[in-house]
Amino acid sequence: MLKDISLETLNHCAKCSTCTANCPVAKVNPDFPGPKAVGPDWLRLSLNAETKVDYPEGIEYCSNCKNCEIACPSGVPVASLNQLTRAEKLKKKGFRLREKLFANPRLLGRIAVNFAGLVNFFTKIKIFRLIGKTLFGISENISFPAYAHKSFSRWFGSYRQKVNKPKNKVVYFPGCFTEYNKPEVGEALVKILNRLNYEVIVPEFKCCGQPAIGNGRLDTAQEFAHFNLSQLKKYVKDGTPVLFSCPSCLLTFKEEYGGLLGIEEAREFVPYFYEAGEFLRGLQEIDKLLECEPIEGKYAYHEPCHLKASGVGTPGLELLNEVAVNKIVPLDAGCCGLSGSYGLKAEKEPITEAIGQNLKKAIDRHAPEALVTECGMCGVQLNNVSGLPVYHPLELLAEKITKES
Amino acid sequence: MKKLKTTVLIIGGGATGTGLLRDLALRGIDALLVEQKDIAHGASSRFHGLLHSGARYAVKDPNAARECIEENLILKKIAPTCVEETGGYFIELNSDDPAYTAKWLDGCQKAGIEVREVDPNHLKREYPLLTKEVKRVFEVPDGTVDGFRLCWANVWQAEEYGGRYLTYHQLEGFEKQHGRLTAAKLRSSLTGEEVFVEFEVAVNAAGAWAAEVAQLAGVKVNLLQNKGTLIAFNQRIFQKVFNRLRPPSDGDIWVPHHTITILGTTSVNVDNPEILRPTPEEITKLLEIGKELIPEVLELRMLRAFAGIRPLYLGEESNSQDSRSISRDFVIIDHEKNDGLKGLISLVGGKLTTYRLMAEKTGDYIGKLLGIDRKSKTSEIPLTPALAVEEKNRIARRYIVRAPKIEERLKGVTEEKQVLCECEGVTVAEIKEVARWEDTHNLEDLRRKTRLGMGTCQGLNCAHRGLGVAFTELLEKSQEPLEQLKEFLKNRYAGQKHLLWGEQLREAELLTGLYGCNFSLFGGTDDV
Repeated sequence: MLKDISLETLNHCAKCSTCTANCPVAKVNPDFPGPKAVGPDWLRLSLNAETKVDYPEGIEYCSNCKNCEIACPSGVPVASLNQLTRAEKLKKKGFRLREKLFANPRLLGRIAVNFAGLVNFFTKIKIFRLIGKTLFGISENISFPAYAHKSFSRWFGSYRQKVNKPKNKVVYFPGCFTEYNKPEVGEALVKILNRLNYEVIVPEFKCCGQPAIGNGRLDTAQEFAHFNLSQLKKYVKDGTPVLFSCPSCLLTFKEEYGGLLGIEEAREFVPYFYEAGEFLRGLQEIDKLLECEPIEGKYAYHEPCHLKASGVGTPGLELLNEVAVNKIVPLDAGCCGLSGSYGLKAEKEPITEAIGQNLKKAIDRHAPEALVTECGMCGVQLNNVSGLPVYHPLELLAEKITKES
Repeated sequence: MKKLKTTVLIIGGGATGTGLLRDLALRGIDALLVEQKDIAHGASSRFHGLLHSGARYAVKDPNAARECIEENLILKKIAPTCVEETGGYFIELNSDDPAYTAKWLDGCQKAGIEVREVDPNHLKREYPLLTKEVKRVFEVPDGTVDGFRLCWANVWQAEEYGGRYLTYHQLEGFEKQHGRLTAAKLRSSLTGEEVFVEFEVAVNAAGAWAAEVAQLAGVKVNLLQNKGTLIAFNQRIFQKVFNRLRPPSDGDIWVPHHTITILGTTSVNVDNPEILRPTPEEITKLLEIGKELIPEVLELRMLRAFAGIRPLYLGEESNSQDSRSISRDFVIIDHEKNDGLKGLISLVGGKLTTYRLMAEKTGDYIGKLLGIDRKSKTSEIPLTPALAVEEKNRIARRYIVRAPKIEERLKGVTEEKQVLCECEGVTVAEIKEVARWEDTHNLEDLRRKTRLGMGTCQGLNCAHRGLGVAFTELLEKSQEPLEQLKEFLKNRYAGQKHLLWGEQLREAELLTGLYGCNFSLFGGTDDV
């Protein structure tokens, strides 16, 4: 896997530096030499003893936002290469408890969702955050995503889907954020799909693996990937579409499983993976549903980097604009800077904050009353910088189109 | 007109000339070296960078094999920063003649070359790119040598011992009195200034240009100009030198040279030393042979093709055209004995690995002529300090006696730590400091000393940046900075244009676009 990525990189990188120019981290943090320097440049120089350094300096600052890969005109898997190198470096240095915890949000979520009130309370108390920083290197100021009182699965288990026969089926991968932090998103999707006469299947899943990749735990990510793929196998064989409401989960299934994690068979699954909005927009029947009560109010939209990297466009925004009274404008401010658990780490806090400034400026300029984005963690950052409520497009849509007339 | 005086005038700044300058300087014999372009611009850098163990000559030329291994060991000892002790493999494929292997093993043993057989499966595992046809593998003490670095190391050490040198000075003619050469007329190709040098002995060490120098003195040196073409790959493919175990032939050496790998060579006779253009036939041939070792060689990115001229001495009347059968030995021609002309010695043939020995023998000869009986010290006095091939020694290894100033800059100003040439890892401090040196006359000189622009991008990112950060320093040179950039790009393009397909074509197009739009220079393509 590394050999393939190395060879691709060495052959294809034109050294144009477009990746570095598009890197949100390099822009604000002089300690990060940029994706090209820690990736293709380092790779080439590391083969020569006179220029070889064991691991590139500053590679820890890569947030795997994928903007380098999106920007690369030569198709070099820059981010993947950097995740591999970083994972190796972290492994050698030894993982901290922090990385182990963040690598598996399911573990944290399963506990926290039962004590949501308590957890949410404690993560807001300064003194506990200070302890967290001293002991675990967890950022003291960036707010944590709040946990829901009831997980999506619990809701889904007791929810009776209303679907007329003959019914169509889709599989839904809710992802950890929907599962433990914002089950409303999953609920919205299930309700919309039911209205379109689709029955939703949610098999047992593990985390997609993106947080594990981001924390250098590639073995863990691989384990998750294999489990998730095995759960999907029988559905995909029947041609059942698999839907994602979280862009990072989607990207991980679509790109990382077959690419970075080197799981060959994952590539065969890719044609069945859909971003939820992408899937909905492709259905003719949706048009009728969109003739619903319009969405009032002034919203602005943030495009998550991983959605961009998934190559599906912004179907959620387009669907919303079909029903919105005021056109929902894209903030067009680039990466939010939080990048999952990246921004929750103490040393990354200033970087996250600095990258978030663009977002803040754009929000101030548009002065919306609420914000819209697909990614849960982007939502946390949007709320951090603006204090405004943040919705997933599915939530706003569901509110209108599932209203009983 | 500038007038200079020296005991020995050395014409030619390649390994031969600079080696002799060092040899004479260490003996305390006054010497001045003149070079028409920059140090090591000819065959001393236009070769595969192999420090022979002698194994390549073990069957055909036992004498050369013995000389090679002796000099190989001496160079590793005295010039550890100019060489890399990579080791090398000789690889017998299923299609090769096993009888040759037996002869070769015998030859190596006789020459005193240490040979160790290696498990071919080990090699196949380490290099999955390698053909499955590998039958037997032998390890030998081959190494690599940086021609630029070695030649400059010679010059700089000679300078410490009183040796002098002039680069970019073209020889225009000699003064002759009573059957003896007494002086040379030179002209600076940068400023046009004339220089008149009086000497007692002149040494023609002009390599491929030796016949032309001889002609200026009215004598003849019978040389065969034999062109060898090489291909530089974008990456270090192997960590050791890879040789084919068969009678020396085209395309059978792969040398890991710094960040790249060089595959060579061909052997084609040409009419004059300026014919350095690799032909499509040569490149096709090299790649066809390359395929035998790496079946997917075409998948690997190639940066450039380049050629050097081997000046092979034909002797008095030889008209042999089979270049591989001509000895690679060096010859000292005293033109007094051959042509009745006093004061001129021609030094021809030889190979880089044995450059020191050549200098020592010539030094002995000159000493005898001048009646100065002093022993050569070149095998005892270290040329460069013993520093391991490591990143932390990179600056000290590359810039040798001139390294301290650069290291000081790197400790001081933060901005100067920035990597300017990202493909080769060259910092701003290096560019600024090297640009200041008196023997750096333009961006091209800067490149040869630092490796600026020698990597993947071939100048795309680094040429204009280099010009930018060293502008003040380059402005002091006799050539306009923009002209320097133009020449730099022209030379980068000249090497690339023979291999313009796939990724390197994209690179060249990007480069042409960038410089075309921003500097009206079209990446050098408008001028070739």
